Amino acid sequence: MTATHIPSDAGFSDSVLSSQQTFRHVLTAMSHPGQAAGPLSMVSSPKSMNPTVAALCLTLCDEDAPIWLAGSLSCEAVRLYLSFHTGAPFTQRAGDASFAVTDDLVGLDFSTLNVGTTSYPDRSTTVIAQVDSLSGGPSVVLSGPGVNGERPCELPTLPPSFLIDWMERRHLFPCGIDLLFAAPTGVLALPRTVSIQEA
Amino acid sequence: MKSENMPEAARQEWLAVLARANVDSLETAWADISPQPSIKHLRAPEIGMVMVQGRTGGTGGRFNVGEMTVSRCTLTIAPDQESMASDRLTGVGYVAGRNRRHAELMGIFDALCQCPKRGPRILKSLISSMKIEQQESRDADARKVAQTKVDFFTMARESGA
Repeated sequence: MTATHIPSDAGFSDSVLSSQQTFRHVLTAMSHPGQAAGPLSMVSSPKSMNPTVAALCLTLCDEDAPIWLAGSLSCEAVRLYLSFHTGAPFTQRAGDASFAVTDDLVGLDFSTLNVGTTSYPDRSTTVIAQVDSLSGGPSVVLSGPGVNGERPCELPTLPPSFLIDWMERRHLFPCGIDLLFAAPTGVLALPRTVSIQEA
Repeated sequence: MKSENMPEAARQEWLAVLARANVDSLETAWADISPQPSIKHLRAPEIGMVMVQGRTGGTGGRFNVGEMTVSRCTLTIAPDQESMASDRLTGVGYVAGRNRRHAELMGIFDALCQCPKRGPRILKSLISSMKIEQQESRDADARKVAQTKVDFFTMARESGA
């Protein structure tokens, strides 16, 4: 192995504790849609990737979970970092990926992702969206599992068609796409079950 | 990075020596190094399993022999105080067994051996002496085994016996 295969950024300083803590935050975020969880364990990451995305990838991805990279995250530094620390393979087709990691939600076509099958809805693609802030986008009202009645909240900046696309995909249940927004301050989840209405 | 210019065979050789080295002698050698470089772990020492594969007679199809425990570590060192971030040297350690410290020390010495200033001295004193030691112990084992070597052959039966 030569040094060209080794990134300059370290992974978790304590991989067991940090990844368990990160996983706990993901569970919290997933079970309380629209409610931010975090901050996640700090980990140094390549320039184009924020530490929260890095922590999520290091926790969730492994040899059996192919990654699809897009936007400014689709670069050699990120690929080197993730393959060294997670061993995960990369795929060119978004539909083959367990995790789609992108900072370009406008360019992301949800119909290219894998929604799973009715027998195995868990084999769907989970989107990890790198954002600058967990708010600043549309004000919405969430309802569905994990929300007691309705929860008003502000989402990150989203492409205009996002909410319509989201509601159109809800009939796919139990199949569907789960979405994790990852900002430096923490993580916010939109699981496939959540219903989003404009406030 | 620096190691791109290193002749690969030379590095393979010292890695092989370090991987088989005695941990205590590595520890002593490390204590003797001054000034000690600052170390940053890229992958903290960890224990895992690898599947060992083999070929019958070295030519047959590949098959899984079994799993073995391996400790590994990747780190970078700053060879001296005034070195820049880009001058950091990357060392890797992969050793058989569960001794994380061995993997770490192997990584440190791998990085030090790549250092243009300190490397040659370490290679000359430490690595070459360990190499001779390891070769001698292998030879001693080989001699011991050779004494009790049995050459099998098939005896032809006498007809009618």
